[in-house]
Amino acid sequence: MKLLRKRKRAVYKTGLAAAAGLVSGVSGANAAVEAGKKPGETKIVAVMGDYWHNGVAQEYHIRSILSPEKNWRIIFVRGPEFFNPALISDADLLITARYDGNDLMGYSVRGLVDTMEEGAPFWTDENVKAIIDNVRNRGMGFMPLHCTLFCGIRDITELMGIEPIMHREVQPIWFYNVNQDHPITKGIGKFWIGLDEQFAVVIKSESTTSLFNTQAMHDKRTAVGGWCLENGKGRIVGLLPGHTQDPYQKPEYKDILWRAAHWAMRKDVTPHPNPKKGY
Amino acid sequence: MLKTGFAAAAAATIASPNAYAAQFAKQPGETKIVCVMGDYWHNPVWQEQHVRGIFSSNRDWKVYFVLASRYLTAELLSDTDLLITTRYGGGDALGWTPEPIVCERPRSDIIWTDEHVEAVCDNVRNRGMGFLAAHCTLFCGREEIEDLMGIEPQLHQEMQPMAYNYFNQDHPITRGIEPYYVTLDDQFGVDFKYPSRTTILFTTQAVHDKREMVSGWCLEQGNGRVVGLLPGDHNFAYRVAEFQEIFWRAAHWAMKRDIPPYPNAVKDKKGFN
Repeated sequence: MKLLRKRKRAVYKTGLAAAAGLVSGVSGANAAVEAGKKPGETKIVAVMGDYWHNGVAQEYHIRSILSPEKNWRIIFVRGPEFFNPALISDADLLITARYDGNDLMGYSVRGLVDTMEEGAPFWTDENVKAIIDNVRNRGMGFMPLHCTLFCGIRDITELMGIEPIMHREVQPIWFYNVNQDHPITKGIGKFWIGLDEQFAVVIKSESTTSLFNTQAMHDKRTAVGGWCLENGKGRIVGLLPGHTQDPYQKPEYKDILWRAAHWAMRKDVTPHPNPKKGY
Repeated sequence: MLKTGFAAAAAATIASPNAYAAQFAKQPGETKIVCVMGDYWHNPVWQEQHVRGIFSSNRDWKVYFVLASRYLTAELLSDTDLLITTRYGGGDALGWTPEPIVCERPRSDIIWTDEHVEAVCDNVRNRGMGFLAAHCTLFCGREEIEDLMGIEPQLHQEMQPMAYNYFNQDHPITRGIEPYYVTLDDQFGVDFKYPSRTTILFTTQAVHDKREMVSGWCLEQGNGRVVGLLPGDHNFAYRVAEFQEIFWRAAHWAMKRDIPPYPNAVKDKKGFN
């Protein structure tokens, strides 16, 4: 409670603030219960956005790309303090794009704020344990995107089956060697994006399947840019693009994200019905 | 009970933005700054972090960030000393909600409504509010705001490294600032509507396509002062100490304040610039 109080933004000693403060301080579990899965629903939890990566664009695109599935409920967590084991205990898929450390900007219940206080960390021991347990033992799908590989938690990078390698400058990126034998990428040809970071990984598991490679156009470095594996009962798809909005505007990458979500949840994988260019 | 409290808090923030803004009336001795920044293209997190960081040494400056355009009201601006915007025209990229766990986004607010435009123009021209129109504000899509800024907008080309190669040594906002570069940015451009009373502050050269453009200017409009600063598609622009200092000085100048030395210069130590 003390920790949460410290991290709230802009607390005024008014009735409004008191109510808001009450909520932001203690309602994580309550909100998680309210976000419980309904019958027939597919529940997806997403934690994305930080100082380097525009959470606005990320949420916009994830919702838009997955929107053809009308019974999929996509839950974005605006503050790590509201993420907890209860929230993902019945989730079908977890999507993360978060490196280590605290949220730079803490959550606020208000639409007009006069202070900015640091938020909570996402990769806590409790969250890590819950994610690994839900993937390995319950079969929850996991899509670690972009900077997740620098979560700084060895248990998570082991779950992903990789060792992380840092990006270099932001530059145009080629996508090539797209795996034509895997349903996530079958039929998708090579493509490019105008600007992105090129993270890279060392694949550690023999059972990992490479989905596509990237080449950074300025420095010519080549790297695995997407992969997938099974880990216990769960499926994991790692996708490294996404520093800027550019990849999310590409029909090919939208299709890959769409298919990856289906594959990770062991659903039938079909091409995206309408992967339009742009946003 | 929790749900009731939460709903009450949410309802209070949503129901009447003008009444809500009344809570934030300026206190004696306070400098009130209102910022509307961040959208699909421009990460609001780093914008708020940098602007607050730049001004943080001024303890009597109260810096408000509007997270949903409905809260940019005539009431809020009525006692504001400085308005800072980086918003093009149209809707907020995501509908605002007070919920910490968001299952569905509500319809988003619109910025640069008639009410916004009227309140901004009136407060600048008649009351003397400062206006720092940053980056994509030039594409607000409202002629009245373009006129207030004294410009016609020109769109950027590709993102590319940017050389800041001329600084006006006769103006207090840019005096003493030396050329520098930024790793990546987009380069908007402008044509001046009132060249005889507009002061060029600095120019940039886009490294790839070699386009040279005015990227900073200032002018007086009625009782108010307006500064236009075009950098800022990426956080790279704000991570440079020189731009932080320009921003600091521009805020003071727009509010007709003496400009003290910038105390917060932070060089990027991570090698991104």
